[in-house]
Amino acid sequence: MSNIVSLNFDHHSTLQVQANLRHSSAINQHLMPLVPSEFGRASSCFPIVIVKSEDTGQFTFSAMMGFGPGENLFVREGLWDADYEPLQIQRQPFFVGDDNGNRVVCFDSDSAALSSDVGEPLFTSSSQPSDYLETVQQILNELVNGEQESRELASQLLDLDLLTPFSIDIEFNDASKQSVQGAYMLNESKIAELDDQTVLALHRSGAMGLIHTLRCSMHQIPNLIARKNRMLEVAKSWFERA
Amino acid sequence: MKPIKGGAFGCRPFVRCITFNSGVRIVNTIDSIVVVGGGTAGWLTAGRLAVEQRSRHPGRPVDVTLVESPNVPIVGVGEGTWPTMRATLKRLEISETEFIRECDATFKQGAKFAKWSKNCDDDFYYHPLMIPQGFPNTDLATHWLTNGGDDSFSNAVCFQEQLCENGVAPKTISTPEYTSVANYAYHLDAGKFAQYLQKHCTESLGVTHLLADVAAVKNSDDGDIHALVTAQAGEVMGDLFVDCTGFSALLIGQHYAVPFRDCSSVLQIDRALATHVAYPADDSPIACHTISTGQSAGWVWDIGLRHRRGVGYVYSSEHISDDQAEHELRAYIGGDKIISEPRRIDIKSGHREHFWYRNCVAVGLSAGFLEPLEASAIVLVELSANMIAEQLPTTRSTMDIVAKRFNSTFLYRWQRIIDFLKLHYLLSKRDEPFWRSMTDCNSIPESLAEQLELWRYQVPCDHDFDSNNEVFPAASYQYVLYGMGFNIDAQNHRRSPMTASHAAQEYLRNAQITQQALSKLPSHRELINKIHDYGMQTI
Repeated sequence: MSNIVSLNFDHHSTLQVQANLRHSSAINQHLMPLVPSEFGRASSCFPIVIVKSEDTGQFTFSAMMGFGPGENLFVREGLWDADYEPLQIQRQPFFVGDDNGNRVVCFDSDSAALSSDVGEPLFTSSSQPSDYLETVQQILNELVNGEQESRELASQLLDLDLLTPFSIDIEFNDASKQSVQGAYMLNESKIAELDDQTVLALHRSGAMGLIHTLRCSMHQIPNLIARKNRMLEVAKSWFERA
Repeated sequence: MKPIKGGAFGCRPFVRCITFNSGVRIVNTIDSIVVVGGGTAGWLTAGRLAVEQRSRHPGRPVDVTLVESPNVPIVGVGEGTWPTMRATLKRLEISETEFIRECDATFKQGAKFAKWSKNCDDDFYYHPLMIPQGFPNTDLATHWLTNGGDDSFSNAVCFQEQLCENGVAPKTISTPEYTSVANYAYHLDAGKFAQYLQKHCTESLGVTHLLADVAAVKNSDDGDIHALVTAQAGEVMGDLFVDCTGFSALLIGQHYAVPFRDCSSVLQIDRALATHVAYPADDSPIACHTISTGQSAGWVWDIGLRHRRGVGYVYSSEHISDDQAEHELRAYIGGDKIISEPRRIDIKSGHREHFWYRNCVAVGLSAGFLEPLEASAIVLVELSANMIAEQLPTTRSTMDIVAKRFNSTFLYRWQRIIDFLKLHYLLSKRDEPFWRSMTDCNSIPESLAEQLELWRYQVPCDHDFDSNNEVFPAASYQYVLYGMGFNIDAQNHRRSPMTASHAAQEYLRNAQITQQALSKLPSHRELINKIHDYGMQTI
């Protein structure tokens, strides 16, 4: 459950955030939306896939953290287990709300990451936003701008016919099988066929860098499979011990 | 219809001379097509021809010109399509999102026939757009007929009736354009559709648009149409003229006097009363199927678009007065708000004896008209445009051969449609004079009577039809026959090899698909709104 509240000093002067718990809302999430500005950092840990939002059908970029709904292989024994935390997690439990057309910082007062006695304070003793809160505000800003950048990148990739659906059939070490469907990736041969003028324009706009980052991130899929296999191994030894 | 000879040299404007070693020979090539009439038929045909010619002759495209009177409004009541429209729009390089937004279009998953068998509120059946489960490899129909069951035929063998009854869309917002979860066609605003096609054809497909009234038609010596004489744009010459002038049939009827084959003894409806009805609220559900409700002397169509419904009564003027018909129409509409006062349209059921004569071919209402019971009008336009586009000869000398084939193909299609429409009435138990008159055995075409005789002992299957130009598949006949309660001779039917357990499996499969579809698909209104807000993806 969530309970949405807009943040202000008068009511929340003592509120603190336990940063090591802010991923708590992502424990069951296998796809984590990303914005283009974090593709580079995210690609060092996750495959970045292109998926349609169920709600709007629009293409979004997401870090793939598991092979199906409910599975996040980067949360281990309740703790975040990757070198990079996507902005969507870093911002937790805050988000941007709309108050009569003005953007305001809101938060989910039911979040497990909130506390009144431990963690990072949100306000200084002189009633100013703390460094932590300022960082959160920057992240929220980056996410808001990133939404537009995401849309533009997706429509550019679509217009250039660079997207192609992909599916993978995986057999894990315990012989269980899974097929991943409904995601899209970049079409290597279509990228190779782009004409010089388009390549140059993509390079100048920065999109080409993002394209290569997306391509490279696909090499994280074997790592993700290995991660799942390790988890299955742990589970197996756990049962055998019991 | 003799092919013209070389003697036309010098008389016609689009003559090309090709020199062979043996001498000089004149070939009259087809370089320009003139479509007359700017309704749905005209623009669909012009667009289809332009696309085909462009892909066939990239270097030397054939000119396609559409001449439209600025003074004649389009009839514009054809608002139901077939699933073929998806392929047609795609071929015209139209974005499905844009089409739905611009034409107020919605999805159609079939037709619901209410009060056709009996005049009571719980009487209805569906003709969905998907074939029965396992069809044609398994024959559930025979099993259903001989073993009974509480479920209606279409519910037992197809999941689409439940989607319609629950107002559920045939796809989701993340299903790509022109792709479906459940097969679908469209409902659309015919006026907006013609305008949209006009814009697309002229801006993207290179069709020339001339606003001009045709004052006279000029023949060449051989009897072909040489040019249209227009009040505003002078003479408009062409090698092929497509008559899309609606009921007025300017070229095929008025100019060439090709006879009209009246079929009002089979299909007696001769009048329509059309109106638009408002939804009670902005978020009122939109029906995802055409609703056709039997009345005392005909039936009422009800088509849900995004912002309004198109509702109309088609009736037989011999069996009801116009006033009484309007009264019945208003009773059907009930408390809902009528946006436009009912407009009366006289209709004449029938078609031309041939459609392609010399260098003139009729497409749309000029070719013929039948009551809109199965949305056959627009699909005939699509089929005609396809055949003209695909078989358009490069020279005049072969045009008569193509014309002959076109005529026999479409005569066959009109016949099959007439039979299929008539079939809807035959099994009715309604007792008003109109319905009795429609079931009179003297009014039944022989071809249909023969089929019915066969179907007393076997369910319709694709072998019953001898042409590959069939318009309705055997499955459609099954839905109508068994929806209307037709039965099979339980002792003497051609036995189905299907075992009870195999049939049970197929019924179960259908029930499972039904549940899955109902749980995953959004409401029709919700999907239409999302298409307006976000659009669909192309992949």
